Amino acid sequence: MSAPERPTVIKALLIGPSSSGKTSLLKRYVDDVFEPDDTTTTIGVDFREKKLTINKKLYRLLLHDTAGQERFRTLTSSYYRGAHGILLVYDISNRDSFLSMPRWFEEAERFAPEGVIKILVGNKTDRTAQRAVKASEGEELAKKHGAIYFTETSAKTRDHAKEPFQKLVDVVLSTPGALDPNRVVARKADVVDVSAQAQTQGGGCAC
Amino acid sequence: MCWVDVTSLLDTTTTNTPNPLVDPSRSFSAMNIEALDQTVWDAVIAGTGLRESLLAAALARAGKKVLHLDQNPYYGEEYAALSLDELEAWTQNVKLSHIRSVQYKTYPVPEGSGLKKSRSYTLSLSPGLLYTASPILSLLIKSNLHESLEFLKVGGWFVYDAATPLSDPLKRVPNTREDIFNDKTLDPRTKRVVVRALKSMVGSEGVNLGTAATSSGLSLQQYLEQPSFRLPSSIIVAFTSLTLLHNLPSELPLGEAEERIKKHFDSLGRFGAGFSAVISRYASGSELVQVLCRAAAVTGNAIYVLENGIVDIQEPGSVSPPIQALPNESTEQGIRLSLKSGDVVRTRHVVGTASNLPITAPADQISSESTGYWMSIYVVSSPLKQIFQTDEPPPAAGAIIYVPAGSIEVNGYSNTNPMYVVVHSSDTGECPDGQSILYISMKETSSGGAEFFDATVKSLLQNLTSQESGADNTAGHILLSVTFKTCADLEPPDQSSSGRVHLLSRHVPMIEIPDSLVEQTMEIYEKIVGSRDAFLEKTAPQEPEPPGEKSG
Ligand SMILES: Cc1cc2nc3c(=O)[nH]c(=O)nc-3n(C[C@H](O)[C@H](O)[C@H](O)COP(=O)(O)OP(=O)(O)OC[C@H]3O[C@@H](n4cnc5c(N)ncnc54)[C@H](O)[C@@H]3O)c2cc1C
Ligand SMILES: Nc1nc2c(ncn2[C@@H]2O[C@H](COP(=O)(O)OP(=O)(O)O)[C@@H](O)[C@H]2O)c(=O)[nH]1
Ligand SMILES: [Mg+2]
Repeated sequence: MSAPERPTVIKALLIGPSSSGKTSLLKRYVDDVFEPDDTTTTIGVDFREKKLTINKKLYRLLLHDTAGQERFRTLTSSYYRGAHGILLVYDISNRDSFLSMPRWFEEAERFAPEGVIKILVGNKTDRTAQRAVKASEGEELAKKHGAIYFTETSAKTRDHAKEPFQKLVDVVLSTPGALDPNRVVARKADVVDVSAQAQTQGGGCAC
Repeated sequence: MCWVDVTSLLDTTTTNTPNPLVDPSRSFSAMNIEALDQTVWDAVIAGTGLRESLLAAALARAGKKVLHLDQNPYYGEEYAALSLDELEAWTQNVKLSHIRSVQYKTYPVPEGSGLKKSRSYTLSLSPGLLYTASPILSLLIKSNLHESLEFLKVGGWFVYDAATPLSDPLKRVPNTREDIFNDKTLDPRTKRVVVRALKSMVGSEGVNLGTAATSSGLSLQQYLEQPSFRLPSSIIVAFTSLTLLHNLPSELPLGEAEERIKKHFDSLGRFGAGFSAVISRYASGSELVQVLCRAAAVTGNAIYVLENGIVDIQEPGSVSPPIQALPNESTEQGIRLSLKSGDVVRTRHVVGTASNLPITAPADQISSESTGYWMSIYVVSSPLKQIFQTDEPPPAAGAIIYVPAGSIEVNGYSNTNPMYVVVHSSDTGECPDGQSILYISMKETSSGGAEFFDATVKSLLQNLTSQESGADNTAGHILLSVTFKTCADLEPPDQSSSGRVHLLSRHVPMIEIPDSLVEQTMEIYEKIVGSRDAFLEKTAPQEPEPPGEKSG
């Protein structure tokens, strides 16, 4: 116990229709950059990590992106494992994107751990002229599907762009049991360490 | 954004029998499909079985463009993990020629102890055991994919001993020399001989595997009964249980048995004391598949589409020069594939099993000599804690029980072939707490099959729950069983495939995820990439490509 404090891990996911700006929001939050026209997924990266110190305690926020598997709704159930929080992102300038959200809520309901914290995000507020979804509609949808928070953002102009992530961490930390290691998904104690270091060559042969 | 109504396309593809597994809301949109024909794919892979997914991940990591399809609305094929509803639907719609006599059965149980909601189960058709010395596991570790998986111990290996009904009928198979010497049921002579026999088969470090007896055509039983050993049948059965092979000890070729037993002992102690195998949490093989597919997608080189498949393959003129050049649409057409959705895509290579490709493969015909196996999945209302106990923490989440021939009686007949029962605890995340999953398998015999399974499970439940100390002395019940017969002979990779259509042989996982998967996958990988080097290795993170080069 006297060893250096190991940071508590918070796992968060982004889901939602293709092109709503999930990857852009993630990059804005982690690297504070915005690359217009870059429609690629974070290439070669399984998740992005952000280290946080909150009330002098260390946290590792692991942010998983959809890797393009949202395009045909082929996210795997394993993507959702162990998630503490989910950001559901749509594009306020694309009505279809908003209309698909009930399906994303359903999918999260189906695969994510019970009690996962959901936050609804309407992205691309900078596209004022093209707005196709009212903020009140987003608000209502969030309520209907048990999302704990709703906000509108722009990954392009930074408008509220960090808020959903910060809110997610806040809520995870302030919700009793949300980080409970006894949740089935986080019961790490039973797991065999198969990393290369753990390997003890040819240990217990009977002869 | 203009979405095309794809209803008409869907109509042509639905089968006559309603399939509750097909969720229309998950159908792909025509808008998205358009993008699929903008590229000449390096490989289109049909089916998301373990080999296909391993290949997809390796190819994508090697920079190849992969379109990965599955006809089902879920990943995994023969390793798929299903909820109760999905499993029931599966039993009603089995399309595979080698799976027969499927039966889904629920049992009447006392109020409150029954099955929980469908989604609290993640049932796989095979238990997906991996030895710690398995090349699949080393591949996963080398490529860092193990970090996305949680491996749990397969702890005890037991032999069900019907002869001693008064004492504990489950005898733990000893793992170490100390175990053997501490075993109170063995006399000193037997102890010495067991160690000697084991040494002769497993060999010590550096000694060539294969005793002179290996090639002599002896069975395991004959070998252990020969005068220099004269081991009793209880010991022979214990040795047999380590092979995970379904033959009788008298029909188990010594060489094969030695290889399997060696694997067990090679694996012991690799990642901790007292266990030789692991399973991945959440239906083992299925989870491996999903992690591999995500790894493929994360590279940005692989696109995933479920509920779609290949209905037609058109190869270009047969005497075209080998394809080396970069995609050049005017000169290189590649193979044209018509998809179930009506789309046409082009690719350099096609990979899949015969059941996923519009090919009639002679290899997929079930020959009359095929070995048949009865397989069954049971859900029971008992945690069976006792069999998951281990000397060292953490406790095991999997256990193996070997039920020798002649130990279970039904209507005056006893089982002529041995059975393996692989037990998964609720720690696997595959069933609710307080329940367990039992996978049973047995080689088909003329004198019956699956009817022994119910009797075996009941007997195990009775014996194990009566052992369970404390107040909760409620005997466990069977809640559900799914039983089917399968033809499991693994043919060698089919050679009938042309240079670009790579046909995978039928794959029927039994207890273990077989090592041969890696070889089969690498063979195709080599044909596509040109070398096996760096298989599944992560290439250095690329700089984002300059804009404009992207399709999409
Ligand atoms: C990954 C994904 C792909 C989608 N693809 C399409 C699409 O190609 N075309 C489309 O119109 N909508 C599609 N949708 C649905 C779309 O986003 C809206 O959800 C839908 O238009 C209205 O949904 P609803 O739940 O309000 O009503 P619903 O009653 O579910 O649908 C309203 C109308 O949209 C049609 N529709 C809904 N889902 C699909 C679908 N998957 N494929 C074809 N038609 C559908 C229905 O036939 C109906 O005419 C897709 C959704 C997702 C998540
Ligand atoms: N105007 C505007 N464009 C955005 C915003 N966020 C993302 N985009 C653009 O939308 C497209 C899709 O974004 P991406 O992050 O790839 O979406 P994803 O598919 O959800 O990951 C890209 O061209 C982005 O540049 C935003 O806030 N405003
Ligand atoms: Mg993205």
